[in-house]
Amino acid sequence: MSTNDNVIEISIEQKELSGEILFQKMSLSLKAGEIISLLGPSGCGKTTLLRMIADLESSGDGEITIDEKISNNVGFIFQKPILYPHLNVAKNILLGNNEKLSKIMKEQLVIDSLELVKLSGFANRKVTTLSGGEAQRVVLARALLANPKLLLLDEPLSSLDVDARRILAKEIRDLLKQHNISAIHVTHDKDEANIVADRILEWSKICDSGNGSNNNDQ
Amino acid sequence: MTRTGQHKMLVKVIQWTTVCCFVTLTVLPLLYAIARLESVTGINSVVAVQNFFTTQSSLHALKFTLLEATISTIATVIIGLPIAWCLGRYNWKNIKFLRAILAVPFVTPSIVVAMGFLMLIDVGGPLTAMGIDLRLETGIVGELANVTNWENPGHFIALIAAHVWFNISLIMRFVEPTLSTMDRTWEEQMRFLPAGQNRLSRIRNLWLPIIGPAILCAATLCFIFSFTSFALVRWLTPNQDTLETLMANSGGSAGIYGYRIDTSEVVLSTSIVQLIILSLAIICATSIQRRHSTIHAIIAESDAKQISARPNNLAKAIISLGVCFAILPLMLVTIASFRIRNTKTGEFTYSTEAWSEAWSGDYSTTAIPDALSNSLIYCLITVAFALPIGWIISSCISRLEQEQKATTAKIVEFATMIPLALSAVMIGLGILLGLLKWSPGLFGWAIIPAIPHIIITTPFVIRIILPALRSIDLSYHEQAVMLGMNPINAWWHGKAAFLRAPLVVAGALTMAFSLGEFGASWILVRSGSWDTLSVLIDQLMSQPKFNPLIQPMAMAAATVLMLLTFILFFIAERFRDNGEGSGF
Amino acid sequence: MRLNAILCLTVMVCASMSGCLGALEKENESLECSTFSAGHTDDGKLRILTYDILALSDSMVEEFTNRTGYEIEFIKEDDAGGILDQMMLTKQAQQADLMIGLDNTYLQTAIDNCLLRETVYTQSDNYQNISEQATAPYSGPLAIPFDQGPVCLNYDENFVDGENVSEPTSLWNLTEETWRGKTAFPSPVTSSPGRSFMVSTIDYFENDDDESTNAFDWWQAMASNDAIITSGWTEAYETHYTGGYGEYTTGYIGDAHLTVSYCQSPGVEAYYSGNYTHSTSITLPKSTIQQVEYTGIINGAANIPGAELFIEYLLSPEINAQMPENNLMYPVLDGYGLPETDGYRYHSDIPQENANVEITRINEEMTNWLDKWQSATE
Repeated sequence: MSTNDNVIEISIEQKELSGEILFQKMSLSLKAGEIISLLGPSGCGKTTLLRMIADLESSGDGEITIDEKISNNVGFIFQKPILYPHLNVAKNILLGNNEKLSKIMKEQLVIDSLELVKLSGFANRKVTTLSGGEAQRVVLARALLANPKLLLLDEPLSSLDVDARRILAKEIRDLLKQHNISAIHVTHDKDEANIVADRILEWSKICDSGNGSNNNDQ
Repeated sequence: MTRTGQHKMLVKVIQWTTVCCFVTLTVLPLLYAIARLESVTGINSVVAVQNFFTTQSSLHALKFTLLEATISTIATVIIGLPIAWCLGRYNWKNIKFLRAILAVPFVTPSIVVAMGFLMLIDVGGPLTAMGIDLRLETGIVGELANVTNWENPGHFIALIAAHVWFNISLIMRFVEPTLSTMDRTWEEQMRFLPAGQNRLSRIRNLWLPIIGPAILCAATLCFIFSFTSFALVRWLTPNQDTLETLMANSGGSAGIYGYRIDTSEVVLSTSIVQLIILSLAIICATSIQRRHSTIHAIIAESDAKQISARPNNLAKAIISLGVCFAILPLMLVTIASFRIRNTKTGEFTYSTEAWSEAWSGDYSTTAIPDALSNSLIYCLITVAFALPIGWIISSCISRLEQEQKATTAKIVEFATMIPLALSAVMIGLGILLGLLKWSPGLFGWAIIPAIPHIIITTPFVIRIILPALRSIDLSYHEQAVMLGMNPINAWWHGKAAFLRAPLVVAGALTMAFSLGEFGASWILVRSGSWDTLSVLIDQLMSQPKFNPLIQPMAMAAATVLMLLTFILFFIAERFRDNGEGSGF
Repeated sequence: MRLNAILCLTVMVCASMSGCLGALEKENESLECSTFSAGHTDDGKLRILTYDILALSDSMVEEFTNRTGYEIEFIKEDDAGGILDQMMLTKQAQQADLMIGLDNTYLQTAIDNCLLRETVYTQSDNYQNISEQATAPYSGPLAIPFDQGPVCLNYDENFVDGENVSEPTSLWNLTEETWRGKTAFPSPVTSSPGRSFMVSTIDYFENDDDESTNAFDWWQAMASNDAIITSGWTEAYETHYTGGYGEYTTGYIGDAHLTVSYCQSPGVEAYYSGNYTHSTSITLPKSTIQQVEYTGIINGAANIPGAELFIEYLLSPEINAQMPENNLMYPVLDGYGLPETDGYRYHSDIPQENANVEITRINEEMTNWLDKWQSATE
């Protein structure tokens, strides 16, 4: 990595999707412990960029360099809260745990995680009974339990109402800072970006738009 | 290679190997059979098809087959649609139970259906009590015959009614889920628009586009099943031949050099013509079902039901009639198993004598427990192979679709549906002649009857699993990968866990079809120790019935087969979720 | 060699007049057919290939096992035609040791295709107890008759009451308006009794006074008179025929008052109904034909000793005498016939004169006959 403590450096000449150019001349860098928000309209390629960073999609014509200390420790929070319906809240959270623990230790871990996201007592709830905000908090708890060095958040609050969004945005920032997690946060809501991020990057300023829309951003 | 693509090579190898093996298992015996028939007859398939259209009996069979399949399809849609509508649009208390009852006809073995309907239309049966004599064609039916100069209209009507009964659950399974999971706000919005001001315009602009593909899908499959109907035609319209009965009558002596060349010609020409027609139907079915996969927002069924009203009296009447229609023939089969004729007085009494005889069996007739255990063994073997094979093939098709290789996906989907286009007789004959060529010693292999079961049921597994796979949100798997799960855990939580219910349904349906199948098994070597319940029923019904116990014994075996099928099916229904939008 | 050939020729000429053709065939057979290797291993079981409706009682089978130690496994086909089909199909890998059920319209095909091997039973004393009628079609060592019965037209006496409708005095009567749509015939293509009856019509019309018509003209006239053609005996007798037990079975239509069955079928009806039946047979000369059913060791059998023992058992008096009750057919042993119980014998009709067609001719011409029959009835 470069000497200026960037944990990520991105330089993409061109990214195509379904045969159309999504964006061009993208460049971006992220420092350790920094939270940046990518602000842009729907369909411009923000989600695709996150997926490229997460190695869920190929990086197109360009390069994404991630510090080797964090490249194996990347978390992702999807736009729709991905909670496994065949598992309850506690078991969903424990999916973020990689250590071998006794039953009692696991129970304590769940209690602590739920407390962190202000959902104490939700351990045995079925995930299908959770509201949108509650679901996203559980997802956050799970993501934090996995101890990521880099967390990618793809419009995590878009399905919530304005008030809930504000509250959860603040909590996300506090938790990320508390755990010293670098994060790239994608949103189209400027207020949310203002709450969460250390630095806001306007999409149009970090790349040139392409011709088509990105399906992932729908 | 991306995170989710790391093990794709291994997965691809497994998938393609499975697809190739299954298609080979299906197609190769068929090719052997056709090659052998061409060799035995000295004519090629093209000439055989040409000869087909110059042979009166073959043409007559083709016309009758097309007629009954088409009328059956139209009648099934007309009768099934109101039932599906009432079931899907209202909030029923015991919806799962109702769905199971209305779907039971589809999994009932055809020989049992034939028996049930014969009893329904028999002299002294419920229909004749109402003045509708479909069997002897007296009364109204006789007048219809006289006025229209139609030969045996009663038999034809009985056949259509039986096909409607058998296939009505296709309408249930395709249309009702679409109705029950549809976003209600769509309808509410339409009422406020000029395009939806009256009922007719709402039908045209909302309902037809939404449930049209589902109806077409069900109708195509209904056509296919009516087209290849065998037991029902054999028993309900004994004076008529369809392509299937034509082949079944000739199949046993076909493919033998210097012997009964005529039957080989019949089987060759008829099977090719049937294959062509059914292949076209399957192409339609697969492309319509793909389109039928819902494109609109589907709300959870539980939410939809909160908005739906409780059923009104008309809906209750329609569903009640549907339920009665579904269970009446089967009840008659069970009652008939206790009804014994006194040969001296001619009167009927009720006793368990036939059950005792059937349960103990003798050297002429396999005992019910033995036939039952054979049936179960074969259906367990079938499930053990058909489920994983069907799942892997479905995964392959789904993966190809995700990779934007739509044409390849369609080809694979069609190739694996080929067994639906084949006569059960041809499948059996193919295996027979294929085995002959490869290793005659395999004839004594007890697992042979399971092979046609696997071939016939795997396409159904695919038809259940594939829509479920298509509906799984890939994000679940991606999230699992991002959480650092190993590939097996990521696969389980991200994909397989969502398929548990469809797998249970597929497994139960596979077992039900295997239990009821006898067309293909019929043509293979039948050792007495291999007799299944279906074979036993047919054997008993084919015996001279001087002994008045013979027919009730057959009904006893049919009752056991029915009960076993229903138990499996009801277990499956507890796991079925309408939200997948799948057919079965 | 030349002397043998002349002798053979002489015997053949004489035998064709005396009906001893079977002896010569035996000689020819053993020269032409090789022994096939077994398609299955000998595990001590006796596998019998037979048809579905063959009724051997439990006690009969158990007794055989007790006496010989051989357990029996049945491989069942639909009828005699199915048995032949199966043997032809699995020629190189026969699954059974013994066949039971081929009749005299199928036997020669099985012989010509080397599907059977010689049994030693013809050398035993017991063989002499088989009636001449049973050995007339074939008396060689490849197949042993075990039951027989004349195939007849049966009609319903409630319909043919002698007042409105008279008993036919010629088969041509059945082509008249009275009988339009009221006759049912199992197809000779798929049914063994149907096939036998068709053969009888060949002989009937070759020997009637009218030389301008043959059997197929009659079949064509029958088809024009809306004769019902079914795939098997069961459908014709049970579903369509009004004279039998069919009216009590599910699916009965009852639109035919005449069908093909056996001359003893009315006797069977009476036997099961307490000496009552309204079915009887037409026994016009040559309108009936003796059907003989055979048992034989399959070429390629694994358990030949077991097969030999079963033939002996089947032809033993105690077992063969039970054919009328168990298989609804006549025994083949001299001195044994139908029981008198409940009018079985009384109501069974005796043919005046059976049609007589050599089994070799049946084999040679059957394909041609079936083609003509199909053309005539289409």
